[in-house]
Amino acid sequence: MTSPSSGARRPLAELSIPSEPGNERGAAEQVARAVSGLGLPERTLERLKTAVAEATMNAMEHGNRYNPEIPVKIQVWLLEERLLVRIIDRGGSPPPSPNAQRPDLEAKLEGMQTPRGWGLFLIRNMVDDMRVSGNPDHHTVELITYLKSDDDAG
Amino acid sequence: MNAAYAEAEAKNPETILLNFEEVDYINSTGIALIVSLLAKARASKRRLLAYGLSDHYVEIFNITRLSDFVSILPDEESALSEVSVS
Repeated sequence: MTSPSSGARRPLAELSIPSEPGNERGAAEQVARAVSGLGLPERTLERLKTAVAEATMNAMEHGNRYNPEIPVKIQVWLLEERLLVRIIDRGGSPPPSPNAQRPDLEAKLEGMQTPRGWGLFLIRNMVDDMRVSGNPDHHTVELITYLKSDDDAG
Repeated sequence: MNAAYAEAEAKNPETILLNFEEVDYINSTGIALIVSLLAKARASKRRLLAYGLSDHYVEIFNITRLSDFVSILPDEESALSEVSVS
């Protein structure tokens, strides 16, 4: 497991998820179990699960082309005051842009846009930070949740 | 969900209720499906109400702005009351 670059860090889990539709849900549950000892507020945990599920779904569909023989790798790290989840695929398509345009609901309701396209938007709104990196061989999406002493209001 | 919506729509109602009481997982594909249903409802000048969403999915309806177009009620009783007074 490649460790994140700075500060104190502790690996909480490393998962290998076959790239099959529906497996993102189990991946999110496994990440939730991995962080269960941290005392995260329920709201934070549900937001994290949604972000992990969406990022895993993207990795399975766009990175690994839903090839069940190519797993999505997920790493969960506890850093100083932060939780880091990495989702890594084999990079079959260009990596998602973290700055992708906000979905336009009115345009979708008018039929001017596809109803789809909510995944990255949900991820950005469910975690404190999202970083994307990669090369032609793999993509890595990093989800960062700041650990607060009280329930987050954000 | 599409089949259930079609069955409800066949009765030509003014309002269709979406029951999420047994739903514990909605992903972006599900959001897209709800957007499609909402588009159909608007085209037919029907109103959509949703009830039984968990707090987490109420938040998602809010951040996607679905709640601007779909009334959200806590339970079936309040949803039916909303329909009867509208």
